[in-house]
Amino acid sequence: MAETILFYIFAIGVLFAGAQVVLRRNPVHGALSLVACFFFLAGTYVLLAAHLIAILQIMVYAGAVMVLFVFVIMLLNLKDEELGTPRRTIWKGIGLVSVVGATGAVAWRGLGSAYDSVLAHGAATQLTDMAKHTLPGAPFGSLKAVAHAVYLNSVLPFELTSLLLLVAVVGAVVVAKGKI
Amino acid sequence: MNFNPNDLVGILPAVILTLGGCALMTTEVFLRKDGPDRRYQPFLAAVFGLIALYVSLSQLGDPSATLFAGAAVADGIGRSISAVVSGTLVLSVLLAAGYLETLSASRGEFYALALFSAAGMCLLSQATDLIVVFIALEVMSLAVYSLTAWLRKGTKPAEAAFKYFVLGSFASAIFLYGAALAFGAAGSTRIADLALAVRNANAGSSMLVYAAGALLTVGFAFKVAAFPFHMWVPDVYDGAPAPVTGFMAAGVKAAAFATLARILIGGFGDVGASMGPHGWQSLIVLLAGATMLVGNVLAVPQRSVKRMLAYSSIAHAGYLLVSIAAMAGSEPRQDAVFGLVFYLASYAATVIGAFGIVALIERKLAPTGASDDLTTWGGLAQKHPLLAAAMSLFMLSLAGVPPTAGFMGKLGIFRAAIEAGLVPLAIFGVLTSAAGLYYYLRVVVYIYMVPSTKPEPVVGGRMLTAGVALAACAVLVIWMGVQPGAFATLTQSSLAGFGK
Amino acid sequence: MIFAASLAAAVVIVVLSATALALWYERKLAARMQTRIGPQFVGPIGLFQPVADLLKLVQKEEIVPMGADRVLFALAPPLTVIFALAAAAFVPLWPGVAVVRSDVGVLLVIGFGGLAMVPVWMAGWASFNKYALLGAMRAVAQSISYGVPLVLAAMVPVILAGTMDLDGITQFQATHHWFGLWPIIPGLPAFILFLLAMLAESNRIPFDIPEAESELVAGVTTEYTGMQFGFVYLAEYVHTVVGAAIGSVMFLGGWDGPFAPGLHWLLLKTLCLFTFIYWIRWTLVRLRADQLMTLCWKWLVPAGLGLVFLSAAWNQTGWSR
Repeated sequence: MAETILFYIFAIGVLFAGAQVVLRRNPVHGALSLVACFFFLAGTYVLLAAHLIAILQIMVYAGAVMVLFVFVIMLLNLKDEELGTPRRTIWKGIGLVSVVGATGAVAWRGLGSAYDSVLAHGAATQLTDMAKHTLPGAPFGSLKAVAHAVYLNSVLPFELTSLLLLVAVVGAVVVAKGKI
Repeated sequence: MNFNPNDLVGILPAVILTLGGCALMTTEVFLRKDGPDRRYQPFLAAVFGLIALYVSLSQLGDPSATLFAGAAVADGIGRSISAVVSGTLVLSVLLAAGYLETLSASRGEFYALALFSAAGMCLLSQATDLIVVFIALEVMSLAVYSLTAWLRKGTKPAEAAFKYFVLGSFASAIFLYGAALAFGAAGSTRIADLALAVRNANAGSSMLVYAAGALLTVGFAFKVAAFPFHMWVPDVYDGAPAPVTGFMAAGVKAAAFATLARILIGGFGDVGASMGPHGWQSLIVLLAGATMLVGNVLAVPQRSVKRMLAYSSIAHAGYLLVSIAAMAGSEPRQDAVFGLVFYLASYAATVIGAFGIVALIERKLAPTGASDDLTTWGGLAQKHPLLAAAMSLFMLSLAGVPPTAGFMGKLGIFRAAIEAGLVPLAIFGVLTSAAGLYYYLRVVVYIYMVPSTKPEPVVGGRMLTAGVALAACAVLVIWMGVQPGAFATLTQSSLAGFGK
Repeated sequence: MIFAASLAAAVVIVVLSATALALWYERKLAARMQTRIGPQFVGPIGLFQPVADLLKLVQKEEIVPMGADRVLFALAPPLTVIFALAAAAFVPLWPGVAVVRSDVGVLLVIGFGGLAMVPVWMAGWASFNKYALLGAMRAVAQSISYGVPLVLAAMVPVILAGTMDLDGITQFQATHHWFGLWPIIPGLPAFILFLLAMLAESNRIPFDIPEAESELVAGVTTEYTGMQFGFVYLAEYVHTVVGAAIGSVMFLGGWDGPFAPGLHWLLLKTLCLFTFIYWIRWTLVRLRADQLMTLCWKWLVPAGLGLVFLSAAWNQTGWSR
């Protein structure tokens, strides 16, 4: 019961903060709304008993990435006039309708019945697979389960990510450095 | 399930290229502060590229093996593409050496990024997990974005890099959305599990699978510059340094096409499924037709050779898409796979050569900020007859005139298309490539028949390494055109373990 | 459920009153160091001085500067206190008991500590004041930078004990040795590194450049008045108290001690660490901004990496088993 109430609080929080990210004209407000959105998302992870994912969400996204975002936005120091005046065009209406329509269609047709079948056979095998990959007594989302998934099952993408970061750092420095 | 060090042997080309990049960046630290001597760098990069080329060629015949618990695979097409990419890298760094030196923009990071990007391409062609595909795609792309921005002075490179970065990130996001939907349908990111989900798709989940397939295809259509997503190509190819453009045109295309084929055949290729290969085949046929048409038509009015080559690369993406469409089936049609690999190899040799000669012209022009208009090519034949001959050869190969590599490539692809029953598409392809003759031959006409308007030499700077690379390209183009059987191991072993 | 809730309420009350006491304690301590007497008129030996301070703050008018972002300005101070308090929920109080037990307790504590920078930044930005903004920027840059050595130092006990559960770490120390003492090579340096990084995270001297009063008036708190100022001020003390508690849990054995293990040992160790932190505060001068970053990235981070490797090596030897 308490979990259901908490879930709705977090879900509404995610949706509300997510909408604020898009709707706010002030970029700082948008970025801070994104922090709030991540925070509520972390709450839903906690409800799934995935503490590790939740805290990583908070540490990495809300803590580090978003603060850097906010930093950059602040240093750019956009004024209202630079942001331009909001205009209501027919294209925005069409975009809104088509996005909502497409998302609705996928959610309705795809997810609605797909998840019945996934829950019927897919998820069952999935969970047994996960159980096979994880240690006995290490439930889904726990530190051990995540560590096994990352370091054994997905060791190639994990190591490859370090190459990606190296390339990103070198590339950024090379492009941004005044004198080469 | 434990990490098996032997799996590293399967991705050895990528490992070698990565180590090469790290080695180059490490040596950069030890250079003298005043007047550092950087002449060794392109050769070091080329040596690592050659080792990777040798390794991928020597592994060609080995049996295919699943690596890292199914995250990647060492199979024929992966090794063939690794070989093509390594060769592309070697030729490109040799062409870049004199170019960067002339423009005094030589730095170890250039070669390091090129090596990293080639490593990403090799891994991309070996990836059998959508997460690995995504990360390898980003390794490749981020490195190429930075290489595009290498000469930041002036607005053109900045515009090119920014456009490439923004649109490329957009494409990556679309790909990622498709991957997320595929995960929703399959419960796993492995392409093999995706195939299972496609087979078992019912009325409800097939929508998810369709959306996933479409989004994944769109993501790659951006990278290979297929028709509705080709807008970035001319500006990016034009703004990037010419050796980078050649590397980009050859390497990125090779890796992206191999992966697209792998995802479509391996993931969505099940004939028994309600949305099997016929679902995506018609999509690819449409893309191929439109891309061939648009690329060839838009290339005609171009005055700048570099820009013309950019549009021509769109047209070539269209021809390559024909081979993907011809592959459709649960087992990939083998002549289409051969055609794809051969075409990628021949296109790589040709386009690197063409952009290499553009680079020689651009060295001279870049400080003045002028574009390489057709008139600047006038009189090349009198001053540099060898370069003129090579350029004509590359143009003929791009146009698909026998006896060049381009002809054999087109022949293979269109024959595969006809055997797959795509006769109208093949005819359309032949017609559009005939239209392409016009703008390719126009370059040859300017080189040989229009006298130079300026007294100074057309090209500038040191030429030795570039000359070696161009000679290698020219030899490859003729060799592949005259004796395509010599490359049979490269193409035919590419089928091993593919699409299983 | 009810037990956890009442425990949580108890912890909040204890931490807040401990913080009030800490205020008094710090002033007394500082006074001793400077051969003064310190607060002595309100209550016995000045013990009710924090209460008087609180009453004074509550009475004051709360001013919102012109041009400030009213919502963020009002929201920031309470949030600082909430985030600082949140970390206290994971501290194991006595064997097997914490408000929240989690298998990633260490990460949760560090995560909430790092998150405390968000409201600080909000406060600085919303104040519409250059000193506040500069202070906020310094605070955030410092917090992000020193988060790295903090995590690295915290990894040493995690590797040695083989768990990220704070109670598990304490129990391991209870049956083996306190990590601050043994193994002396990764343990003691890691403890020192942890203390330094924690000082920087909570913006204490010698790392208090975000509110360097000679340059920035009062940093983030410049525009805050009344109880809003009180919240930010309080949050800093809460941060230090909770940080000291976590340091004693991770390196000094937490509730472990001779005779009867329990909460009193934790409180005693926290008090010792707290005293040590304030001893430093009233002794040293502050670093310059560039020295701060040099210290972090060129010395502490490599040292932390080395310590992580060393502790992994120690684990491999198997001597601690």
